[in-house]
Amino acid sequence: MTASPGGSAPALELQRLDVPFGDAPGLRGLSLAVAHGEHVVIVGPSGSGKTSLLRAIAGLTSGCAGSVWVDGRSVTAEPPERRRVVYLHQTPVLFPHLSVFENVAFPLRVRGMSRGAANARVDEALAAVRLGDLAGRRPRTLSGGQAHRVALARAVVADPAVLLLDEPLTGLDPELRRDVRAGILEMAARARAAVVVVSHDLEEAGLLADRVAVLSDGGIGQIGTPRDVFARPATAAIARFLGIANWFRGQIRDEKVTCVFGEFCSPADDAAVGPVAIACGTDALRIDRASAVSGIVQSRHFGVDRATVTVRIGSTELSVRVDPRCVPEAGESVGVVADFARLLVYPAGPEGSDSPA
Amino acid sequence: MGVSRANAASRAVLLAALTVSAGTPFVVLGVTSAAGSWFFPAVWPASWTGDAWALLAGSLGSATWASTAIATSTAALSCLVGWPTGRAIAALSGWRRHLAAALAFLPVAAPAIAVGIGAQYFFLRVGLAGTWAGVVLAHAIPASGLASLYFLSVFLTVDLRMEDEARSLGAGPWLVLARVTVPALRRQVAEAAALGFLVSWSQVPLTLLVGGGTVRTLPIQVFSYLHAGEERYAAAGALLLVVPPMLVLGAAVFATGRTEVVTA
Repeated sequence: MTASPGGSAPALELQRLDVPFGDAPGLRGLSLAVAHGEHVVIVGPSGSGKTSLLRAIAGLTSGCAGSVWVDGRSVTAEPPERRRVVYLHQTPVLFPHLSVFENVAFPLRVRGMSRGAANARVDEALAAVRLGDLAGRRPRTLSGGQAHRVALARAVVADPAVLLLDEPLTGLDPELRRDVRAGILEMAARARAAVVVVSHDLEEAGLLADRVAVLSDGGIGQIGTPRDVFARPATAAIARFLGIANWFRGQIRDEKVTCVFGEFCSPADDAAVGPVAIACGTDALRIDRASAVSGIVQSRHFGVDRATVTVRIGSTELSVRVDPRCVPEAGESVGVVADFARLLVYPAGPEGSDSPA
Repeated sequence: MGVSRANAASRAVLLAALTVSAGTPFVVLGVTSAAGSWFFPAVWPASWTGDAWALLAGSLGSATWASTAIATSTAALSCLVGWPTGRAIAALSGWRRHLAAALAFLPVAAPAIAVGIGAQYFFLRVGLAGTWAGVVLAHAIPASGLASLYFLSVFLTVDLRMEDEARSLGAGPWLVLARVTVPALRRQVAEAAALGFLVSWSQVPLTLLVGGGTVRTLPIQVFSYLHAGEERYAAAGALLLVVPPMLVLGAAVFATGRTEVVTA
């Protein structure tokens, strides 16, 4: 077991965990440690095993190998109710036959806490999520946001060491997302629990996470702060998953990479020679009329607070972020420059393709 | 305007026809049960008596009690068997689920006489023939099949994620069952129990074959009165037979609109 820097055991530690998905190999040899109060967001393509991993941690999946430790205690052989791990589904699952108050009191009552002591804790938790007025209501009468907050209050009342949230913001409108996200952060801080969130929304991951873990090829392909992971994807597959927009080819020789934009030092430490795939986001390129590299604007795309243009340079189409107040017209010839420090270099894919291996 | 008035009139006529056709048999039974002397071609009894209803303190009452006890036991037993069976079948997929559902349907589809004869041979060997327990077990054969299919449909649509959530909130499997799943599905349980009760309540062939005349339920008693030419008593018994289905229908109407949907 790994000790945290403070000397105490992590709130959650996975050691060489194997999680099956039906007949498929699933996740293999996955290791992860999450400290008390830390938020780790797990992202990955559909079918990469995000939800299966959460269910395995919660003890809701059979057939797993490896070990799960909570607060320094192995819970691998423990049933879900003895793990101190609370698992919240994507949509709040409240018990329909119980009132809001009874729902929040549920974890306390099943542990045999007296009604008086439980009531005080429930009142406090409902006040924390600003739902004290709705204590007597049935779940079916709540709005989506209220139901989310009840589920969070109930989870926190259970006093978990680890809180698992499965896509908690998916399917919510922007206002409700802000509301639920704030509720998650507030209740997680109150519980002092390690929080593991599964999400496919990278922006939300960046807002919720202390660290982001990317599931890839049956394991954690990369883990780090959101800034590190989003700025420097470890592999081309992760870069593709993260939605890096631009891919073009280059050549590497003597640790120098040559591409359409010129020559720069390879960010990788290897001394490979040959073709490479170069990737970058839309903001690593910019329109500069003085640039010697020019192309024709193919199309323009407007978002809420940004604009991009697609520029064809030779046979490659690149997406370039531009000032929304000054967007070149389609068909216009423009110069493009690249910020070499933000170009990512990966082993090249099949011949004739800009995609990496 | 003219069309809607015509529609309203035709609806009223249809409703009246339905009420008359559904209610007439019960009116006739009620009148018959209290008719002292009523000979053809009189359309109305010449005299009235309450002796059939006085039998509630006698043979009719004991048969009603026997039927109530047996049907209640059957309802409970069919739920106890049907719940796990339906849930197990729902957990299957593809042809396995179809095959298991067909097997569960077999005791419902098979003629009651065939099931009864089989049950009678078996119960004779194990000493249950002619006993209330034997009759309950025999009635539970079709009732459990129906309950299994009913619970199959429930577990195919109900959101069982609440069980996972309850487990991770600290409840063991039995607490989850007792405090979450069964209470959340109490209406469905009540409906399955009502189904089992009604299957047993009106059961004649299985009661005759397994009860062997020793166990006298209400339908058996009504048949016995008919054979003896006691139409007044038979009519009173037949009216009693209608009471539970009417109560279940009333409960269903009352529950409509009060349903809590717990679907996935």
